[in-house]
Amino acid sequence: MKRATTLDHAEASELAGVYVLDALEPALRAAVEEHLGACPDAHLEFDELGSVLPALALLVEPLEAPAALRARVMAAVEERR
Amino acid sequence: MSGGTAAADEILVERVARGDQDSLGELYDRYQGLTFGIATRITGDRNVAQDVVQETFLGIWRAAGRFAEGRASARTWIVAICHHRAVDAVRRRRPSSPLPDPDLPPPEQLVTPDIWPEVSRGLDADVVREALDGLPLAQREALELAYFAGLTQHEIAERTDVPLGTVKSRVRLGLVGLRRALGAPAADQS
Repeated sequence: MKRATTLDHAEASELAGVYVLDALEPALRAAVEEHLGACPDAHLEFDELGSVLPALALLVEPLEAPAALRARVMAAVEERR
Repeated sequence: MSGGTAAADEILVERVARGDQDSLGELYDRYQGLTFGIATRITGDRNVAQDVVQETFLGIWRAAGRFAEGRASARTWIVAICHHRAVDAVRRRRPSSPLPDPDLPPPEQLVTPDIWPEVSRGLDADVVREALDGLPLAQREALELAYFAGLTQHEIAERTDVPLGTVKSRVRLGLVGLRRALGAPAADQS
């Protein structure tokens, strides 16, 4: 697994917005998570910016899933017990 | 049901964590519409969206034990898993993007807490739409391309023809502006 990128505190902070929106490429996302896991200082901006996302989800109209999907999902779960 | 439905979601997740499939079925019944709506909106494809819903509930099944630590409401947690799966599905269809591992659970940091639930509980779609429409166009566009179209920051930069640094700051300012417009208490520090 390549892990070329290392971020310092300021660099990680700068990526908070694109991170909480899941708009980072996997390698950079991993680098942010590695930093968050190791950083001794709080990164409040991640929670602050991320707290907006549930509001964005309100803009999506719920849509009734096809009835057959329920059985398919439950069968898949049964398979992975 | 007398107003206790929100708490009941969390209890269902706890039961799922102990291996109770009936509780997962109950969560499915409550959230199939929301998750299928999100997945369809983001992927633009009802078949792919069904796969996303399936992966979402498999993700709930596998990760329910970690929810017990409880950072967010069950609804927020489920929406975050679904959104993450939908974005992955969109990117898997774009060969130019590096592939996320489809079997990994969503990173815990991507499930952000409801830190102003007393405000956000009262929100509805009209209020959020108005707040979003009140943002500068470029910020709104950056947020929408990321959240609803699943584009990465590089793809947003390409699509909108601006440098990467501009995308980052538009996204950040957009989220900050939205948070303020929705009445969130000011951050302690930033």
